[in-house]
Amino acid sequence: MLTIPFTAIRNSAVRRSLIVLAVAAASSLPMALPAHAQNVETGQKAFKQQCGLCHDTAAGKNRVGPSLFGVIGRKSGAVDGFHYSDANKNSGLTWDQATLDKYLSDPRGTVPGTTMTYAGVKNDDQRRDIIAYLATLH
Amino acid sequence: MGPRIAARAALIAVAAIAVTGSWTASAAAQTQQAHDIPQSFKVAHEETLAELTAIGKRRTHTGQIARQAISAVKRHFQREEEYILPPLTLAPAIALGRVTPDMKWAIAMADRIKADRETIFVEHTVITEWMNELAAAAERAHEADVIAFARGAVADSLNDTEVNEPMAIVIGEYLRAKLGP
Repeated sequence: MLTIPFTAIRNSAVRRSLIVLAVAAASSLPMALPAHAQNVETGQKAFKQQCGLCHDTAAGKNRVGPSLFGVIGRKSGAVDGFHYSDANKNSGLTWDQATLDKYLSDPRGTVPGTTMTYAGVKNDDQRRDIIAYLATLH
Repeated sequence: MGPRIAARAALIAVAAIAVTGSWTASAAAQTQQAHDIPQSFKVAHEETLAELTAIGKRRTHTGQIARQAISAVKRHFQREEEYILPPLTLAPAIALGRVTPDMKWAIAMADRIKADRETIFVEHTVITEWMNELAAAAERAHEADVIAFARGAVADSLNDTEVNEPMAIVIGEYLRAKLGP
């Protein structure tokens, strides 16, 4: 009868755990890494179609909506020369991947009283791509 | 995108019926009487519809989108002309300090705007979606005039949300305070 020493079992269990952790980490890696080129390119196209009519990407160029240059890391309602709704000014949000994702999925639901007359980007992938593109604007 | 916008438009229609159904008879009676709208809006609505109709006559993708968008724009204009814009005709007189009992009709209209605020907002988002689609198609086809039209339309939507609709409500509230309910 083959007997496996306890230390070996423990080592093999540890090894298995490490493998499981490595696979889990690898599968979640794309979420943590910066957006890859394809996402940004797709996001730029989606941005143009979904947002480009109202928002410019050049610094200081406001249209019906504020310029989205440098939006990542910016506090809501903070673009100079743009008149925001009180709702947007007082939302207390700082635009990062998570807050943008929430806002873009349902602007009026996330910031009640916003005057942005846009229903939101309902497609998760498209929203992620748009945010990946916005992250390049700095 | 087209079918999604159409589905949203259908939802608005259902919501509008629900709102109309719950509208009290007395309030409806007060707003049934048609009132004028400011001349500047008459001209703006006529020009917008004429321009969108002209784009709709093109045998291009933008023409196809414009033909689909026009019903959403017309529906919104009808709502505006029925009870959103008429109170604004009173603004010049009120600004001069003149308030008379025959202005009371605007109170019910302002109440109706408040009650329908979210439905009205959704109508604006539908128009924005159509304009986004129109502008994207126009960019691909290098139709600069259509892009300019779409930009103007979304600016008008923001103007309604930022200024006209709140102003009509303010007029109604002011009249209620001066004239009583």
